[in-house]
Amino acid sequence: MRRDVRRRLEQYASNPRCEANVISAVHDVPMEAVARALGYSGAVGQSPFALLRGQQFERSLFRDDAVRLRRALITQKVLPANAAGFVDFRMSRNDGPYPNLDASRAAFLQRLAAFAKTVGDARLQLPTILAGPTLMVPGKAILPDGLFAIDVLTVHPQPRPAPIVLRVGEVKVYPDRGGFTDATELAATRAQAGLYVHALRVELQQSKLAQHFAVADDGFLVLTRPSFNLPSVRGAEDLQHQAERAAVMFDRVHRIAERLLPPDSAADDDIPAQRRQAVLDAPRQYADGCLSFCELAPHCQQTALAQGLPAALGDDLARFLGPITLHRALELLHGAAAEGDVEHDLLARIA
Amino acid sequence: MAQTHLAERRNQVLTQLLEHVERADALLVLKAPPGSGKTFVTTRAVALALHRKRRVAVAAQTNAQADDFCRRMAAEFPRLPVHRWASAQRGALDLGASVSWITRTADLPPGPCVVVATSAKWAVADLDAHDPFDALFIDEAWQMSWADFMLLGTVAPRFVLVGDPGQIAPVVPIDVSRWQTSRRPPHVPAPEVILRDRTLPTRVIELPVSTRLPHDTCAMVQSFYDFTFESWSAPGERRVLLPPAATQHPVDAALALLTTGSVALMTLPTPPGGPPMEEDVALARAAADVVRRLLDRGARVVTEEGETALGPGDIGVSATHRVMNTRITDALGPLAAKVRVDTPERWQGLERKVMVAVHPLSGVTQPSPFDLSTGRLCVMASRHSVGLVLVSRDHVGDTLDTYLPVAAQALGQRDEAGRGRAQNLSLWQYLVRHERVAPMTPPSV
Amino acid sequence: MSRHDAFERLRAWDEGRAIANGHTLPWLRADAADRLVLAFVRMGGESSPWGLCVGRPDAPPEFFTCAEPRNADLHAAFVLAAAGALLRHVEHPSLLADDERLMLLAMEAPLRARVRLRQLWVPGPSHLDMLHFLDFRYTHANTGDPKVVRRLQALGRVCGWLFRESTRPGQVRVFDATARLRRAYTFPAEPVRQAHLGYLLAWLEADRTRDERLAEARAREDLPVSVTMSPEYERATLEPLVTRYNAAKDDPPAQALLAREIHDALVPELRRRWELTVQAMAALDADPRASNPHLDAVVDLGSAEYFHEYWKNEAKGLDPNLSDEQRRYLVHDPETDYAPARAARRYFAHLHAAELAAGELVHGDATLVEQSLDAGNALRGTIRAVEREAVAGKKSGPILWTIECSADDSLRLREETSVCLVGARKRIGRIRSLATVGAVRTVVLQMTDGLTKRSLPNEPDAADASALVGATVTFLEQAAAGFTQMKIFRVGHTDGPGAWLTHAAPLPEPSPPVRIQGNLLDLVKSLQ
Ligand code: SF4
Repeated sequence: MRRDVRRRLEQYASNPRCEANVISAVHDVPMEAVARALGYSGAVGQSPFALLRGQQFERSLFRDDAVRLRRALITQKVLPANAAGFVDFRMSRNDGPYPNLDASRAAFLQRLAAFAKTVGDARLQLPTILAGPTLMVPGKAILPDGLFAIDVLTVHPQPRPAPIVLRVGEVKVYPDRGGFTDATELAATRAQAGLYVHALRVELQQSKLAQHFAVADDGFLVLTRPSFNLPSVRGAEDLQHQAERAAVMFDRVHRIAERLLPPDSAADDDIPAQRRQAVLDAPRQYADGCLSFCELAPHCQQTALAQGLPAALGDDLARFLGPITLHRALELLHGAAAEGDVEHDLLARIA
Repeated sequence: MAQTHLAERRNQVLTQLLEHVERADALLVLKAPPGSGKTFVTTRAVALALHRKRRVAVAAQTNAQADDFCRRMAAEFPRLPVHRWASAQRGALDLGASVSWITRTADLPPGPCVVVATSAKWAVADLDAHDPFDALFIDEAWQMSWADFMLLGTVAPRFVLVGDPGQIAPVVPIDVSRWQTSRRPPHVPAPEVILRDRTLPTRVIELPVSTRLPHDTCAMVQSFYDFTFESWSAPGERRVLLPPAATQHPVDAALALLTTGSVALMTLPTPPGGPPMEEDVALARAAADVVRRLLDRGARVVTEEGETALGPGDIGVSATHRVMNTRITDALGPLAAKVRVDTPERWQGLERKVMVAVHPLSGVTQPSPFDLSTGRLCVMASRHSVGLVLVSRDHVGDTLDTYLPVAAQALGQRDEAGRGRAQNLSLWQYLVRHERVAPMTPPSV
Repeated sequence: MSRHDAFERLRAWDEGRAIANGHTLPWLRADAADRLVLAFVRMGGESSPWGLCVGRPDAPPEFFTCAEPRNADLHAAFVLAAAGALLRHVEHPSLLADDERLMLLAMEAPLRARVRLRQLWVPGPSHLDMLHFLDFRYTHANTGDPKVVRRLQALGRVCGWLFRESTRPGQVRVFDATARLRRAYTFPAEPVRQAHLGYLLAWLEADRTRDERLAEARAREDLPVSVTMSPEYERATLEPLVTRYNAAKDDPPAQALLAREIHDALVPELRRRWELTVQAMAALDADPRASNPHLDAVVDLGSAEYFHEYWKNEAKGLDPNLSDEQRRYLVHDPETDYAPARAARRYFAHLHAAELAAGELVHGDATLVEQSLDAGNALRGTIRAVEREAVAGKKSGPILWTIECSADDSLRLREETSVCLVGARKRIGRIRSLATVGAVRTVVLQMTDGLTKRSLPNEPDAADASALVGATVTFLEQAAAGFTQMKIFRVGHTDGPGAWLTHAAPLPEPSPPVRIQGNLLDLVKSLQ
């Protein structure tokens, strides 16, 4: 597998309206390869320092039975003051005990089954922090196996017959600046966390554990304290509608996952031309956000401009012009007679 | 038969409010859905407080609302004196024999009294030289930011905040990033700040019965509220009666729905290239056609009070865009003089027997979070006592279904975009599920 | 998107260049001596700066960097070295002699005049964020040599104030060059692309075609201007140096050499950002448009904010006898205003600033009038009647103007709103009624101020002159600035009877238990 499922899920969620993007994410056809084949160079790379910091931050949270994370979660009342217990489902390359995602997932589901059986004090004393449990994308919508690890879950046991509540947490290295925290980052983080809420619910359903657990509609974010290496936890993040969004997205993605593409090659950086072509042939939906994540953005923007698609000059203008192309809008501005209600409406709005 | 058993529930809630006043407790938030009689209960609470020899301050958000409150007090409690405290620039109005008009702070009465003014007036009043007030009642409290509410801390030690949480939220005209994570965010509606703080001794009361909204409308608008309420009218009790028509008209299918329920969604096909965004002339004509056809066919309405003819003054029309309202007015021709056509903002607080409303998302194929905020739709869907015809392009259901909301709100805030989509979708699906949708065919272009 | 913005972006695309937005610029030009240009870079994934470049626009800038920004001591040393430039720019009281400081504290006006036009320019919003990060990092610094800590805290506070000031509507103290260019011109590009200063400047190039400008803009876009450097540059050039630097921790001379190399690698990155900012400033200075003639009140408010929100607190904070509690009160938390009264006060202050800027500047720029009309905050129409209302017992009643407007125009103004006349802003009326029939909206105004010719010498007619009938007039919402300003002060009253709720004062004693007697519903009924 070339890129991990999580990154592809992020890619997918960044522009789910673009079919080319969805194919690239679902069938693991790296957009960078598609762009390179078209003569575009720039990969949307990541800073080596940032990568390292991300890893170090996450490790620091889970070190020593997640003492640092637990403290922050307790302070922010995500966990009660007496919360204890930590189970690590991470892979060995992330300092965890499991060799691969399959093993992590098996262990996680096994542990959940064991949780479900607990009663009395044992139930109330269940471990409260689970690091890196692995889930499967519902319906194997992300190929080939759809396995991915989520950052952290907290466990909130209640006496039987009430279900054990699981709460999704998402760890990010960007800084928590209160109301100034980057809104785009937050939106992406919540989309991801919502997706995990949905995927976890489906997993529980499929493992016949659903009646023992409830996945909370709210989750928590673990960000960094600006300029410090300490966690800043924000609880009670509303994920309900983002989980619904994920359900809608997966529903739609099946159609694309089922599409047959020529097989992938074994060599890592050699993407068969037909696979790249499948991406290029798919309808695209250029939008403002493309610039920040998709290697094909310069190409798509140019194409959109050539076609006179208003999105090439901004989502806001696209919303304003609706179905009218830039070419036509300019003709109207230059005095062409409006045809039809839509053009009349535009002229009325712009006059 | 009206749901008279609900009178008991309503009285229980009113009693809770009166007991709160009687005990002189500190803080109460009264959530009032549309047409649930918030002025009815507030005037009673104020009357009781005065009877108990208290000094009562009442804050309204506009002068018109303050005047209305005084009129209601005068009509219902003509023996209780009320003072309307207003700016000297406004000419005195006759609000009833028991209402005296004062403009100077020095004229504020001593001892037990009821003084009604706008919150702006209270906010800058210098009350040091006067007896303190015992309690402050705030009307339309969801229209008031927390910061503005803070200014009323000088008025009284006890607060009753009354309002409709589903209505249009006030506009915040500046960047408020700095205060999003504040303990008391100054820009947020005051009742919300209070309700978020669990450490406050807040009592919350919800009015349980809407006398305005018909039975099935209550069920429809329920998704805009986090508490339940019922309609005073029994299922099917209020309806539109339509004499048989000699000829067919494209809007008749929608009108027929009003004879079996209180809401109809009349759709026009979305043109293949997309709908016009603001000025949708065909939709404006369709809305006007609904009004005209109701009158032409001699529609009558049945309510708990009996059966009456529907006149043009009983009908209202609402669209969010000015230009649509103008087109509708044009299309109404001479009828426009009698049928009120206005934006939802201007419809707040008003009602008609029958309303015709242009769905705020009609023409919006890429909604922004602002488009999805449900305050305007909630107002539009809750002005009628008998029937509502929503007119819309038919893309709205699909638009909402495929729209993926982006949760870019500040940390710890509610996901308004997601919530707005869910509420909008729930209303649309309600109409589809209950077979309240009638395509207008062929459109009257 | 407003129709003005949509129309202008289309027009800019049509013409293939950036086009002027507005007839005036909403800030004053300043001398180089009053201007400081500041640019940052940071290490990927880190919040605080790795290096900064600072200086007057007419002289070579100074560069400050740090070999390893993740090392707290090195970082503190580097920002400490750079702190002087910022503190001098804001006339930090610690830099003044005692008697001068006390004099300025007592008199206010001389200092305000001195800093009236001081401007801090940065390339773009991410550089402003750096100020916020320095606020987070150093305002509450507490370990180390007390003298150093005090200076670091002062640096944190000045950065915090400048950052907060940058968010105050209408402010003319902190200049995000990218935002100012976007305010001054409309560019033919998506908003996300307009975040790049180099990209914007390419669209301002003279004598080029659209395609040439577009190609140039795209080429410039490849070189980052935000505080983040390109990952390739970090990977290829900086990472190896930093790795070697850290590995040489036992070899100070080698480390010193590597620190120099890191510095040299950061300098061109900083210089490019700094120079682009100076270019943007120069482009704006060279723009033929004048500054808005109604800026005085806005600039004055800015210097009042400087004095009361920043300098005064700094000066007071130098008093060694202050208690910790008093000192804490002088410091603003980097994240938010936790105390309800302070939050509300600042919220009203920002509202007031917005109202003042909008209310003043609109009188100096016809484009702003059009935008107000677009947004529904103004009304334009023809005077159909001028009459005096008959009032029983009075010789002359109020003057009423009946104005007919198009019902198509959006209008947010409501009954009882005060409005002032464009062109003669002292002539003020209050909306008595609004009525729409067909395509005509009729507005009746009761004229309240500027009624006589004497009060408005430039107006040919008194407000009750019938010659006004037929004239086209535009009225703007009369900024309620005075009212909001009053709220700023009043919301600080923490001693009202309801303060337990409004100002988080201690909860009141619960009222003694009251036994509810009788049926309250019946009781109320008996009052009817
Ligand atoms: S850049 Fe092109 S391919 Fe990539 S998501 Fe956007 S439209 Fe799709």
